[in-house]
Amino acid sequence: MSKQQPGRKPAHLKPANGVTTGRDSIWLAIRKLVRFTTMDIENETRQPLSTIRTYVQGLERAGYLKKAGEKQTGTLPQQHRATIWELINDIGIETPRVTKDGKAVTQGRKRENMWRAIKILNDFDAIDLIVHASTESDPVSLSTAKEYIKFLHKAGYLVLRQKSQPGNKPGTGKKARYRFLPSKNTGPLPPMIQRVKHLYDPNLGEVVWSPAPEEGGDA
Amino acid sequence: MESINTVAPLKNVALCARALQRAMDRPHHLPGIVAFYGPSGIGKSMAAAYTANKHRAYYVEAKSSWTRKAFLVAVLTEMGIEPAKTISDMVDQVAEQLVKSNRPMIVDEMDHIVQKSAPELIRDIYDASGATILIIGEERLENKLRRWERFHNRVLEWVQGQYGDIEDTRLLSQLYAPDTQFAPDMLDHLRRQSDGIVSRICINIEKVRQEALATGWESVDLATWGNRPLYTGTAPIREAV
Repeated sequence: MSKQQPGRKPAHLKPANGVTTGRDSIWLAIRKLVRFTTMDIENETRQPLSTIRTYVQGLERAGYLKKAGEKQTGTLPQQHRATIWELINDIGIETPRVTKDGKAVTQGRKRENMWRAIKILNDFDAIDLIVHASTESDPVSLSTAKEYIKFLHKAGYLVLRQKSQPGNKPGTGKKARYRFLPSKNTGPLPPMIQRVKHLYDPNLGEVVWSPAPEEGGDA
Repeated sequence: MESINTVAPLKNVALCARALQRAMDRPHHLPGIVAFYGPSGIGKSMAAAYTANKHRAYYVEAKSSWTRKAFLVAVLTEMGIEPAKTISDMVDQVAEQLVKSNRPMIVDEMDHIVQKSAPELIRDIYDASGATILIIGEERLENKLRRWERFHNRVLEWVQGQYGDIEDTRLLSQLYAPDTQFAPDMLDHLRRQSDGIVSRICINIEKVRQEALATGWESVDLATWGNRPLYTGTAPIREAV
């Protein structure tokens, strides 16, 4: 899979914005160490060992890692043999999303497609967004698109360019049009609406919009 | 009627998606840059969005103000990578991520940066990665790139976008006005009045949809529509009173 050109020194790929937690930090450590034990990753990342083990297991089953040997660790009487893992499929900066069983996680593709489509469209209404974001495997519904637009607008990622104007019958009238602000292109990961109705931008590692207290948490 | 969910069957989307697919599947000895070009308004952004989403491509839209550095920073932002300090290190970063991720790169509005040694930069990225790269631009893109011989040599295919036909018009009506039925003569009228330009076809579909809802039509043929005006891209002529 990985086909590094011969004689090329690997470039240093560091995540933008420098925020790495959870699995992102584990993947980063794996790429840095290449051959490692779960304890090595724990030392690098300070993530809980259980989190590291679960992820490593998923990565092995998905073919990213293989067992490359064992080594003695600890001191008697707690001495035990630790597995040495080796990275065999380095896909670059993006943290592989796998289940414990090694299945690829595709959840979130619709949101990713909407985020990509918004950046391509720049100026759009909700119908434009579903038309440009839908693929056969991930069709985006109008309600999903409208909800996503609503939150990006609240967070200041989109500006309202033309207010919706009701017509004299349902379905007539003008649809609201929005423009994406280039300064809000924070990175490849789509901002996500959290269950608590916050908008979280994983590129920044920040909640970028939350309801004001007087809105009563909203629903 | 079967509901249509994606733009995939549109002629230009299919042309562009197939070209990118062929480049991704190419044998090793063939070059990996493909170009999709055509006049404005024929739905290049639809084609770009669909192919980008299908392959999770790294997409950037070129701006005429871009320097080489700005170009590379934009690509690295799209990849989520902290840009290195020098141009040459940034090229390495982009190339490495393309190789490792096995994802293609799309450079839209390529015309904007043809004058600015961008073709050399993209060629550097291509030579360092062997990645599949799709460039998108206006009608004269092929012509403009001829003077960049070493870039031109690395183009596997030049795919020219087409004007929308009646089948495209029908698909667009299903996407943008799923609740209104358009008779074949109405679709043909729409296409002609819009000169086959997809963006105009969309505007006119919306006009017809609004009128249909306002007057309670479930389906529209040319006789129903009569001589109501459609958007033709030219300024309206003042009617004599």
